[in-house]
Amino acid sequence: MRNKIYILLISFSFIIIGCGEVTTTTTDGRVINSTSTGNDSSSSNNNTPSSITNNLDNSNDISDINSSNERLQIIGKITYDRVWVNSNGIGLNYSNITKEPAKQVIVKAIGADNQVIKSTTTDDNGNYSLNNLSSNTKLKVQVYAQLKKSGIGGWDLKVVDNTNGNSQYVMESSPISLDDNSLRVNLNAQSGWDGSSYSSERTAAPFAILGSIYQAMQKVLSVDSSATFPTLVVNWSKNNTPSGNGDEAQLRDGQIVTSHFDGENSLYILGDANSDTDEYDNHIIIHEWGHYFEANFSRADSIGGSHGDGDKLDIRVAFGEGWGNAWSAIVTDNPIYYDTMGRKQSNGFSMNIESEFTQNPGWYSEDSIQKILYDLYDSHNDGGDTLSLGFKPIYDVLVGSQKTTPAFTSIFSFITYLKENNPSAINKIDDILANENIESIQNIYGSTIDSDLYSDMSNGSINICTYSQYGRGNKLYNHRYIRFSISQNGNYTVRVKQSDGSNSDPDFSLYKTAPFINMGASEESVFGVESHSYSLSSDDYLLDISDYNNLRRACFDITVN
Amino acid sequence: MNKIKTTKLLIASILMISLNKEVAMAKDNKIAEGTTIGHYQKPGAPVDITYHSTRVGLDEIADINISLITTLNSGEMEVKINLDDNLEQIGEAYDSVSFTLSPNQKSYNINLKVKSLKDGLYYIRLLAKVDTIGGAKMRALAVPVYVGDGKLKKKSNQKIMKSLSGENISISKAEETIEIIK
Repeated sequence: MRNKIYILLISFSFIIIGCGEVTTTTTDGRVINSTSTGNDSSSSNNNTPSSITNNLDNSNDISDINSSNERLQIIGKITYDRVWVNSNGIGLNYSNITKEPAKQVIVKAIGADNQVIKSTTTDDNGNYSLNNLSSNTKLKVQVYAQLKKSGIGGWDLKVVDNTNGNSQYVMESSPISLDDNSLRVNLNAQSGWDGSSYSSERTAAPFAILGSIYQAMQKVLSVDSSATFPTLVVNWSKNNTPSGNGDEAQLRDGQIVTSHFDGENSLYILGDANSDTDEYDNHIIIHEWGHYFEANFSRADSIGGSHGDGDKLDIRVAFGEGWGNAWSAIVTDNPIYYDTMGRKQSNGFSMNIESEFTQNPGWYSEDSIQKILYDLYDSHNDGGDTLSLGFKPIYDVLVGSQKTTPAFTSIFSFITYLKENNPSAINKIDDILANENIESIQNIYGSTIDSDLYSDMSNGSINICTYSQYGRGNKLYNHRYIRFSISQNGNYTVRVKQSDGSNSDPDFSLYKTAPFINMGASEESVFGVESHSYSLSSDDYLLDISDYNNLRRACFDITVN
Repeated sequence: MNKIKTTKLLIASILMISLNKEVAMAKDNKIAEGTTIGHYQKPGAPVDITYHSTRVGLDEIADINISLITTLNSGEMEVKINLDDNLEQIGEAYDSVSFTLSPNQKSYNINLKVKSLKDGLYYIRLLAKVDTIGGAKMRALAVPVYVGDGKLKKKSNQKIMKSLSGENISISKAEETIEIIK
């Protein structure tokens, strides 16, 4: 019987026939090889595929594929174009595009009536196998930008277009007629770059993002095989621009402010060409996923806001951002963090997570935090760093004591618990801290380093001042932390009244510390005073006081009655 | 005098409203504004943006006021400006601007006037570069310009379909190699 392969909707530009091999190149550049020897006895012993036009490997076992005429198979490899950064860390290098395996993505055989005939996932080499297919079947192979694995050690994430009905990205083959022979169908998601611009669909982008996240998940699983990853939706679109306020309507238009984790179950990733695209900026994807990890596996108390070199930050922001940067280097084992942007994605910047000069080193610096965390992890000794803990001890603290700490999550709580878990490494940990101008951390509140950072309220009242000398909002001392205890269950009113004028706008948030629960924020736009009533149980609490007006100095009488 | 002026303006406004819906929309003078202040930012140059503009009709000039805010006290901030193809810059056209940073100034202003003959949501794209002690850092920012209907014109040719399970799926073609296995 003569073997046939029907490829529908294809305009053939030319056909080359030779030596029993048929190579067909379509007008859109696809190459179809059919080594159909048919009844040609001269090649009857040839039971392997013909040469393959790209460098895809043939790791699937195909020896038993055609044992039954009614039981056919489609095997193949799914890849995506990854565009690498230039060697100087600035700008994407479109001359350096590699085909990377799309790991663990969902592959479906879709029938002519759009029914799913078979479904599977690729392995870590991008290989897949759709088995037990009937002959005389018309189908397409679809690859979903989705990773889904149930049970312990599982995950559930997908990439959608937030500007297009949250539609999930799928790439598909041409229509295929599966007659009497099994097929190898290799599919590649292309970057869409034509040498000077993105002139066609950027099919690779969602798969590149999944590749980065999968790499991060594998790092977690390398130290905890039972880690199970909560549902995550990644919103990427070529319309996603660094603009807007981030409200829902703007997110649907692609105005996402920046690549970010939304604090719940979504990442938003920039994709606006000639402005800022992040799909190939591996460290950024992993950094933002690091915030998802912190929120779901550990605890993230960061209040967000803008941040940069030399900033003296609120301790929660410093730790969260330092963690994100360090995590991107830990996952990739590459301390060079890069962010590409600008016209033709040819611009950008890079920084060395381990050795970047720190303008204001200290416990309030995200640069210091990232260096400390990476130095604790890495095996490269430099400066005062002679410690190589690897990721496991860091992970154990993050998912353990750091998650339940009665203090705010900061370098103080993290190092305190790390020392508790690793007493033999205390001196070397202190050496790493000293590199960043931080004295030995002795407790979760950092009270031996800055005794004013947390204050204790006694007899139901205290006077505290906020300061904005280091900047507004999320900078150091704009927020002040107050500890207090409630001895009897009941209704209590927290009142914050300015004591040195009436031009501030005090706000506060209340937290129960064990277990750590956010009891809610009080953020009325009222000058001089803020109050709110809570039903409180007999427990310990943390109060976070701030002045929305960011006065250089504002002092407050705080009462809990 | 003032009364006469007011009457003339009213008549002119009524005429314009009746002549052109787009112009009427422009006269609503709806403010489009935004800021990154207080929002999370990925690592990069310590530069925030605040912008104010009005939604405009077709061929009407949008007056865009942009403030770039930085905590840096010294050095230069270089800003490259790139407009969507459908936007035309009015007046002196320039594609970059540079500021000398000082301790006494936190906000650096850019004013642009643009117009478009086509409905849509367009962007003025900015790329700010500053030199920090840790090296050069950059931040991309964008200012939306709403013209006419102000709607995003999708930059996509991908097919949107419903999967059998009811999900929207956005399909694009793969680069493919297909072989018969003998």
